[in-house]
Amino acid sequence: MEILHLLLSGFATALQPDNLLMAAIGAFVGTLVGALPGLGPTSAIAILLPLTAVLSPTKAIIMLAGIYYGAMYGGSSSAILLGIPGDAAAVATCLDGHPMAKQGRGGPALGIAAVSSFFAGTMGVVALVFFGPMFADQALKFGPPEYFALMLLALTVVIGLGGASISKALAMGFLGYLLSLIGLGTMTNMPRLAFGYAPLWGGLDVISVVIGLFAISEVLNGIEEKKVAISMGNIGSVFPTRNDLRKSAIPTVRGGLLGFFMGLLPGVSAAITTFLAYDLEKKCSKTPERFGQGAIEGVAAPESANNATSSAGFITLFALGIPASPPLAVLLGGLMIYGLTPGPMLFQQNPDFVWAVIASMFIGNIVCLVLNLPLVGLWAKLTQVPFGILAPIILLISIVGTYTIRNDMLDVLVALIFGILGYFLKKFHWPLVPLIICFILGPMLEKSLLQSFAMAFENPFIFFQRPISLSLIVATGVFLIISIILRRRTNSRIASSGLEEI
Amino acid sequence: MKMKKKMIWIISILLLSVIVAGCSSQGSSQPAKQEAPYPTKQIELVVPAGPGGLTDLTARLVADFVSKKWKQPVLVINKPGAGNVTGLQYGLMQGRPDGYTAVADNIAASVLMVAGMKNPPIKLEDRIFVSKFVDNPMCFSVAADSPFKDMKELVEWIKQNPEKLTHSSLSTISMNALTAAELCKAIGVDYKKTQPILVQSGSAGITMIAGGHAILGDQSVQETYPLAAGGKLRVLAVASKERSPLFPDVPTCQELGINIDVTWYGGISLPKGTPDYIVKKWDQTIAEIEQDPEFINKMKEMHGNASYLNTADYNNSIKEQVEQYTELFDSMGVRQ
Amino acid sequence: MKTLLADRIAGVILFVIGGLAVFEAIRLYPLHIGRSIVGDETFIGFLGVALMILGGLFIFVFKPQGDKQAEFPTGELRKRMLLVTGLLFAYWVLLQVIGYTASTFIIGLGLFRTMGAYGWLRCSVFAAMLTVVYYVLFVVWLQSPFPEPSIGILL
Repeated sequence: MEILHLLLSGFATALQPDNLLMAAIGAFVGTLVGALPGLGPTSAIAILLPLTAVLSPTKAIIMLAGIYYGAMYGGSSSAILLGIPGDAAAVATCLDGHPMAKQGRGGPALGIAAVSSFFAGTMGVVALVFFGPMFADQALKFGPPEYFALMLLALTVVIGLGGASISKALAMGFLGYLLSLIGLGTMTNMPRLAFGYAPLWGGLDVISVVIGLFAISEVLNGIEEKKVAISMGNIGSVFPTRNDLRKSAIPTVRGGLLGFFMGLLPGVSAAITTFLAYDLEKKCSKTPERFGQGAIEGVAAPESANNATSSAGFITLFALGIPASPPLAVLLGGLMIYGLTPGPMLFQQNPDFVWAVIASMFIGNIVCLVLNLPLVGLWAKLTQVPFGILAPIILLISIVGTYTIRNDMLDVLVALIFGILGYFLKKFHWPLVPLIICFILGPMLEKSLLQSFAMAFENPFIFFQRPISLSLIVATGVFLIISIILRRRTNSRIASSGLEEI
Repeated sequence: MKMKKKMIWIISILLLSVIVAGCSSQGSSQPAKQEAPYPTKQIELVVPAGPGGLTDLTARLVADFVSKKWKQPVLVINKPGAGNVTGLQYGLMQGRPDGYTAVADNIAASVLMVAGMKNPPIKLEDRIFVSKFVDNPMCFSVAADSPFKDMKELVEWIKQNPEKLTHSSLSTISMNALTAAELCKAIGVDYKKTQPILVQSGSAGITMIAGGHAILGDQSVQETYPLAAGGKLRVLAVASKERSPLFPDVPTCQELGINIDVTWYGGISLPKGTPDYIVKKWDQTIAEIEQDPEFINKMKEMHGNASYLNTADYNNSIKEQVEQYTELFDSMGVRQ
Repeated sequence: MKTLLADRIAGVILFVIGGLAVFEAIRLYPLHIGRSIVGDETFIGFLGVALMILGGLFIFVFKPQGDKQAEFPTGELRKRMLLVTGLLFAYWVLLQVIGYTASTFIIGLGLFRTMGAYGWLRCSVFAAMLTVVYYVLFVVWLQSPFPEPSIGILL
């Protein structure tokens, strides 16, 4: 077992006190920046990357691993406490995490998020060690038709999460697709849906749409509900109760496995897997109507899927040199600055370094858990601030945060418009989730469709001629039928219980 | 009661004025029209691409070295979107021509945009090309399990079956399209018969080749290297004049009798109207850091190739290329 | 009744958006490159038609579901919400006119005053603190390049 030996020596490096300190600093700072509303892991890593430049390569990379996990965790804490997801992947966590925080159970929600992130992250690193090279070949087999089929599969989520009315969900989904296509055309590179307005050529930014729909509109709703505070009194114990743990154990495992295996495919982002995991839990649950109202399973599953997907992303990154998500792209940049070229040769060229990195990712994960469980109290204190103070803070940081993503004032305007739009859509019970999912998936759906046609020389049957895409399409059909049947059964129950849709 | 309200108003106005004064004193340090000392404050280097790619990495490297030389911070700002246009618009059109806004330009953002579009949103005249600092040749590759063992076999096959040739490309007027079109032109095949598959990023394109979903890889050596080094790709030929240090055993196209020379490059551009002495200062500094062995080494680690052209040569080569490629894009039927 | 009306209006809006998309697809169609049968317009056209159909269904076919009615705030609350929304848009304008520091303070002051039940003095202190904290965070630490004010105001 040469691998084990190498891994152990990697641990020896990563566990040196000064290296451990770097991991701790990285995890703390990463969480802090990631927890700023609107700043997701991508921006957090990009921002903190220069800070590591003063260190020696090994220390810097260990710190980067800490920052990475910290930023991932920080993103979910603002999603849970403030209902403001830092990136698209945290939207699913919002759905149940924020209601939990509103009910005064922010502590357990954050605790479960930390625990399930840790579990999935660890699982991912272990898998990276043993299966990394094996999966590399499989990932390459995914061509455009397979991705198209995969996007269709993800579309069933829209039906599953769409609230009471399928037609409303579909309409919102189509709108989401349409909005995502604003910008330069895939094929011609000519502007489309911009109606002659040049600043729109760059398209709408996901984060500004998300902040508008989920943060600004939420605050507007808050004013109306005359909230004194998002949560007064106790946020609940920081540590999840045994009951919480028991309830979320299986969702964590399920979400982790789903997130991991889907995440092995380059291009399947955590945004996709978190929604799939959430939907899967809702389907498996005996009480699906609790979802969206603060079900702890609805926090555990997407959080676990999120981290498992990013861990799986490490495999495609290290084994193929393909960054599977924006945060990994930034991390790739960081690795390359230190002379590491991810790719199949990496393990042969720089074994010591690589195994130190893998070990430090493991350590970073643990440090994150150890650091964050006690600090959950600190993050959760945020929710005890009166609404009259918290709301202006959220509104202003939403605006400033939106601006800093692309340094573009147009994004701010977009966020404001979507804030008002979100307010009215909620009023009239049009579901927001399909809009945002389709907005995220739209470009990939279109691209894979056009690419498939191109590579098959305009043969539309290509999707049914390749085994992987065919089985995905069959799976889509099956899921669609199941979810429509399930809806019929639960629909009346949800409607009669008078609960609000997400 | 009234008194108290008044007091509060006065205090808040005082507070406001302190803050406003604080911020305006910062903004008022504008350089005079005459040769003011330069640089005296932070410089923004706009990258028209997201973080992580070669444009971004090399720009950060340049920013680092320039900042050390000038003892002023050089801040890299990523402005991705709309195929370079967003960043260029921000840096060149909205940026002030005072030397404190520079752009990490590249061939796709300058030459290809102007050659490929009848009415490009950013024209050559909208900026000052200062100097080139990095090279990255294009190359041809196929999947490792592809039946084509060398460039000759592939070329023969393309000549027989041009309509079966699939290749990946960022857009119809991208470096990839250009590379494939140059190959077709050199071997006497109609490019219009081939089938480009449009992809969202260089790494997505090269992955598609390695997976066997398209036949011919026409990416840069930097994009090709990781998968090639791992044995997933076979690199058949490099499209530049000289062999690439990344693939010392791979012949150039010219060695094989295919007369093409396509290389991606990046350089520094400044907004139109930036004073001459500032342009000169940038050019000199770039020239100096290009000599620095540390810079060359760092560049190598990113799989870029430190390569300098001064202002005059850089401008000439750009003008030449624009003419040449405008004609080519016209013949490809992709010029809009 | 109200919901039915609202859904019908939404149906009209969907129909119009769908129409715009179809219109855009028709405009894009001639830009088609090469021999491809699909292109930039395919997906947009599909979405446009789908939205028009859905819009039509909402206008003519669907019956209102449930008896949920949208209620909007009135009186003082409505005024406050409009003021908050207005302040946010004002912030967007002011950021570009008088720069980050001044606009953040002014809008922060306005928002605290509107949403919280505090006096001017306390609100000013909150707003000043907020401005300073965000300044340190975004300008000093994260080095975000805020738009340069188009006019430098001095008091």
